[in-house]
Amino acid sequence: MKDLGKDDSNIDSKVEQTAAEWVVKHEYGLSAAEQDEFNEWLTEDPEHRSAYITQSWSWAEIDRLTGIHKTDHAPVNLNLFDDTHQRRSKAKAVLWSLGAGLAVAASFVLLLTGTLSTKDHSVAPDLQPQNVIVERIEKLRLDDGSVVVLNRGAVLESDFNEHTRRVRLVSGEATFNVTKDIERPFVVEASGVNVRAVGTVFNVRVSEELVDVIVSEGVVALSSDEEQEAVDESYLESHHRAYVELDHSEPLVSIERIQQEALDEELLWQPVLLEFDNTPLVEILSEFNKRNDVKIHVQDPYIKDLRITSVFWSDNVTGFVGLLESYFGIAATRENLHTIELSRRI
Amino acid sequence: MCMTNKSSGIAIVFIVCASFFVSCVKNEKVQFQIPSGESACTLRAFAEQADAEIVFNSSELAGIRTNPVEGEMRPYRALDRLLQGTGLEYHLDSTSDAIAIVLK
Repeated sequence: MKDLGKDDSNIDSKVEQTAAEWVVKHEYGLSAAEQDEFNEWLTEDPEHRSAYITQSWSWAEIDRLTGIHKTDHAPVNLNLFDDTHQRRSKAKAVLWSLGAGLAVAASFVLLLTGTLSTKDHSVAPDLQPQNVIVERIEKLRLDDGSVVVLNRGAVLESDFNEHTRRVRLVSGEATFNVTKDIERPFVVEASGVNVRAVGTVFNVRVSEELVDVIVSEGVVALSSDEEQEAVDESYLESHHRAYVELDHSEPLVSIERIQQEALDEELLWQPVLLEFDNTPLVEILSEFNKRNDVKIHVQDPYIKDLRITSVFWSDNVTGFVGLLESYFGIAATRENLHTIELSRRI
Repeated sequence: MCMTNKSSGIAIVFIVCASFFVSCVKNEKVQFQIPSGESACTLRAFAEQADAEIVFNSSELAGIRTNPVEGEMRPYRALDRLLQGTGLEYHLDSTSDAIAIVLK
């Protein structure tokens, strides 16, 4: 490894420097106290996590270029930290995904930096794999056992008490798999629209103009905010969809039946495990592309026809592309927010 | 709604567990039972038993056999045993712990 002190010119901020120091410490193993300190540091600011991941990449690339392979090195598991963090964060207000959003924002900054570096300094493509960082889908388990899958960019607040289980979808899209509790109804509030369930599976997407509710299993009741109790509830059964238009003096609800095929298509954003055996890479990429806003393009017939075996979650675009880039002779360039271009590394 | 409830002092209970869908390879012991065989098959068995994400070039690994691995051990130890003497090595994606298997 390099001596940190010899390369300070490449470290733009204190956060990055601290992240780099943590990477070095991890190289030599952390004591229990250091692990706690590291976890605390990660919780302080979402950018810490992003900075750590970026610095890890940088060091890994340096190691790789100098011929050091970490074949027996157990990596730092940032996800282990999540559980610890959640246990410590009980009874504190949380805006889920805000951290992830900031991390992505930070990634986009890195994207610009990396691209400029490539053009200005002819840095080899494999030196900036952070170009293709794509946010992961998050799965949350609430304290009542209900599971929420948050689409990228979604923000959720949770507010449970002994009488009700209320969550507020501030923005974006989420699917709720609600555990049955007749004594405590589960209510999702989105832009003043309440979606009440007892035990069911449904998807809610909120934007400035409308709230879109799709029920996969069971029944939910729609109503306006609790402060307008006089408003009638509308019941939405399985395989039905409600559009609640918000740009009227009162919310305007329209309900329609949705076929299984259309329902599946609407929920394609939810991660599934993609398994391929000896499959042309272009077919694998096609499956990723169906399920992500970021599309991976490839023109080179050689890359298209590479025979790949893989087992990957569909939202782990960053991991899949990162490994292709690092170990399969492929260069990945993020053309814009929604496009990654793969080419043969020269 | 939420704001009203918060201001009226109603207890706020929060989410206790969050995770990505990642098949994150935990540094915990797992029961492995992988016979020796074609790497294409045994590596997929490893991925399933370790709950790992994995990728390799099928053409590159064609005809390469891996060692049997049986017993309770950490995934990386299992992978070391699986690949020992095969001419293969593994690399990790630092963001998700996904694994690439390549020729040395």
